[in-house]
Amino acid sequence: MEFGSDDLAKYPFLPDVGEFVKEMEISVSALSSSDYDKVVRRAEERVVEAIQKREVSYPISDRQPKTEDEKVRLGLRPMVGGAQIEMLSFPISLALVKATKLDHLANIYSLAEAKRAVKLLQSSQSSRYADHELGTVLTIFRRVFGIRVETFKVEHRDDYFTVPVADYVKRASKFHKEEWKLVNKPVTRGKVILDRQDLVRLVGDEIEAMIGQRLKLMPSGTKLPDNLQEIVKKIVRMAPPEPQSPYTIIHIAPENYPPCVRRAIDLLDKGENVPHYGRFLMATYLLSVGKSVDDIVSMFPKAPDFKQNVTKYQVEHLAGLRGSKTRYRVPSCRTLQTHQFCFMDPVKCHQITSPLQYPSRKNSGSTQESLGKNSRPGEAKSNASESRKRSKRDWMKIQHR
Amino acid sequence: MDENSTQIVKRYFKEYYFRFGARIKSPSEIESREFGYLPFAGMMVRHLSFKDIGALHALLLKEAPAGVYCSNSTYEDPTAEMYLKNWKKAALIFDIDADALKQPCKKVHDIWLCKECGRKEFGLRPEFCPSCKSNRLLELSWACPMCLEAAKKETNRLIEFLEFDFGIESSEIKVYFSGNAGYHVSVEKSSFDTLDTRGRAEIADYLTARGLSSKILSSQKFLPTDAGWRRRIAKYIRNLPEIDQSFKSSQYEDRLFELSKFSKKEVETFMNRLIAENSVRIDAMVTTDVHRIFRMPETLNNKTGLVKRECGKELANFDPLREAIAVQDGEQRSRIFVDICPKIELGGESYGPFKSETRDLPLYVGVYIVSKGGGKFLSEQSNVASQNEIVSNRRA
Ligand code: SF4
Ligand SMILES: [Zn+2]
Ligand SMILES: [Zn+2]
Repeated sequence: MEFGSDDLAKYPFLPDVGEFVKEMEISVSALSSSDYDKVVRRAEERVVEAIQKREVSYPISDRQPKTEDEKVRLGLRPMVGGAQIEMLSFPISLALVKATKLDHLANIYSLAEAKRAVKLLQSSQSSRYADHELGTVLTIFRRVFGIRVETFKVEHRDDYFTVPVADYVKRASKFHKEEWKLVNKPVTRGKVILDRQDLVRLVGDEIEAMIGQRLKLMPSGTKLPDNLQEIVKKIVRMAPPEPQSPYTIIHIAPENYPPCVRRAIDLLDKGENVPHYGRFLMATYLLSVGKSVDDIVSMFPKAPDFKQNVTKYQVEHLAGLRGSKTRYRVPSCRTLQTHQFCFMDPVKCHQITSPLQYPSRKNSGSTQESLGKNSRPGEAKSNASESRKRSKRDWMKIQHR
Repeated sequence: MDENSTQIVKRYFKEYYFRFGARIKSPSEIESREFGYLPFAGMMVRHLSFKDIGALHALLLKEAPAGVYCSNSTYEDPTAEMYLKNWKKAALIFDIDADALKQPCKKVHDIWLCKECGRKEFGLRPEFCPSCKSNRLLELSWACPMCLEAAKKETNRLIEFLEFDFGIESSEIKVYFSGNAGYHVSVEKSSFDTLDTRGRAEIADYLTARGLSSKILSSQKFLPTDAGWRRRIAKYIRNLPEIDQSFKSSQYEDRLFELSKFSKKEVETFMNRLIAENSVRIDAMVTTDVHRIFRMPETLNNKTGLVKRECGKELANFDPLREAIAVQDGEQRSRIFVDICPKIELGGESYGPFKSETRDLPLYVGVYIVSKGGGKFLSEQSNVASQNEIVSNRRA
C-alpha cells in the first residue's frame, strides 16, 4: 500500500517523506524564499509547541471536528495549511532542533512529536477506523515496526487487533502497570488481542526513539539560511535549562546491590576480565549510591598493567568531573540485557527497569505494585528522568482517555 | 563418593558411551553452541565448541565425563567469555522438577542426613538434628513413580499452554526425561527464539500466573470469546463439581454472578485456589537465564546413572524408570553397602528400602543408589569374562 499525502502529513517520520522531499528538490537555501514562509513558520511552531506544551499539535486539513468537545479531546487546531506544509515542516523542525546543539531539547522534541503521532494513530472520528485509516495503520505497523498486526473481529464491538505474542512481549515487558503483563492479557494461539489504544501505545516508545535517532544521525554544522538561524537563536532562548543531576545519596550495603553489579565486583575480585559494560555499570551505579571516586578506583585490582591514573581518570569522567561535565547515567536493565550483563533475580528484579530500582533490604518487603512505581532510593532524580516519568504518565493518560 | 565407587561408576559410564554414544545427535548449528562437561574429578569445563558431533563422541569415549552439556543459545563466538560471546538466539526451555511438586509421598521416600553427627533418617528434613541439634542437614530427595507421574501431568499442562495459548506447533515441542526427577521441555524453533531475559520472564510469569491481577475476575462478563487466563478461569468455574467450597450454586451463570459479588477475602482465596490448580510449576530461573548449558539428550545423568532421553510423541506411554536405564544387563552385578535407600523401582523391579546393609544388586541399580548418595560400592561383582565378551562382541 502506498501512503497518501494525508498520511505523510500525519506521520512525517515515515521514510517515504524523505523520498517525497527529494522529489520536490527543495534545497536548504531555498528555504529563505518567501514561498516557504508558511512551512518555516509551522516548523518553528512545532518546536515551540514541543517546548511549551511538550506535545506537537496536528492541524487537519480535510476534516473539522464536529463538536467543541471533540475539538478539545483531539487537541485540534484550526487548519494552518495543506498537508504539504504539515509534512515539509517536520524535516525543517528537525534541522532547527539539531542546530541548537541541545541534547535535552532533542529529547523533548522527539517525545512531543511521538505523542502527536500516537494520538493520530489512536484517534478516529468513530469507534472504528475508517477503511483507509485502518489500511494506513496496519501498513505502518508492518513496514515501520515489523509487526504483523491483524484485525480481530468481535461482533458489535470496537476495533480489536492481534499481535504475535513475541512481538508484544518484546515491547510490553518494558511497561510496569500490571495490565500490560502478558498474564493479564487475552492470549490465544500465539496472539495477544489488543484494542486500538493499546496497540498504538505499544510502539509509542519506538516512534520517539526513531525520531531521536534521526536527530542524532543528522549531520551537524549544516549551514542554515539567515532566517532559520534567527529562529534557532529564539528557540535556544526559549528552551528549558539543561537538567542538572542532584543525586539523592542513600547508603546501600554491598550485599544489597543488584545481581549485575555484584557480578561485576565479583569478577574484579577474582581477577577476571570484566567487559566494558560491567565496568561502566559498576562505576555509575556506585557513584549514584554515594561512593567516592577513590572508593571506586580502589576496587579495581592492582594488576601488573594496571594504571591507577587511567582508571581514576575514567571514573572521574563518568562522575562528570571531567571532559563533557555530564554525569553518566546508570545503564538501564534493557541495555544491560542486550549486552548480556544481566543476571536477573526473578523475584527482586521483577518489573524494574534500572539497577537503581533493585530493592535494597530496607524495602525488599515491598509489594510488586510499589516496585513498579518508578522511583527507588538512590535513583538519579535528574530533571531529565523526572520529565521522562512525567512523559510516561502522559502516555498512560493518552491510552486511558 | 569414595574413589572405588567413582571408578566403578565411571567404568559404567564409559561402557555406555562406548556402546551407545553414537545415539547422541548433533544439535542444530553445532559450531555456534557452547559445550561443557563435568569430569568425575575436578571442576566443570565450559566454553567449549565442537565443529561436528564426531569430535564430541571422541571426547566422551576418552573422558567418560560425569555430565555433558550444551547451550540452548547460539553465539557468534561460543568459546569466548560469557559477555563477549555475542548471543544470537536460544530455544525456549522449561524445567519441571518432581521434587518441587511436593507430592505427599515425599515424606516416605525422602531422606535427611546430618552433616554434624552423620545421623540419617527417612522422612522430611527436620529443622534441627534430634541427636546433635545441628541445623546442617542435607536433604536427599528421591523421585518415586508417583512423583514422576505428577511431573508428567505438569508437563502435559505446560504443553497445553504452549500449543493453545502460544500457538507453538507440536512438532517443535520436544519433551525429555531429565535422567533424574523431572522433565525438560524445549521449543526448538519459534518466534520466541530471540526473546531476551525480560521477555522470557513474561512467558514464565504467564505459565506460573505470577502477577495475575485479581481484576481479571471483576472487569467484565466472561464471554465465550475470552482468551488467555480469562478463558481458563471460565473453563475452571464451569468444570468445578456441583458442590464446591467457593460457590453456593451449581450453575455456571449463577456462579459468575456470585463471583461478581465476592468479598475481597473471597476473591483472594479463590485466586489462590485458581492459581494453584491451573498454573504450571516450572523453574522460572531456567526459562529466563539464556546463559545456561543443559545436559545433552542421550547422555548420562551423574545423579542417577540414568539417561536423559526424549520421551517420544506419547508422553503417557513413556516409563522413565524402565526406558532410561543406561546399560540394563542382568549379568552385571555389584555388591554395595547401602547407607540408606528408600524403596525404589527400576527396570520393572523394586528394591529396598535398605538401611546400613550390604546387598548384591544389578550394576545399574547399584550405580543408581551410589550416584544418589545412598551408599558405596564394595565391588563390581560382574563376571569380568562375560562383560569383556559383550564388549568384544559389540566391537566385532
Ligand atoms: S534485571 Fe536489572 S538490576 Fe536485575 S540483574 Fe538484570 S540488569 Fe541488573
Ligand atoms: Zn546430628
Ligand atoms: Zn514420590
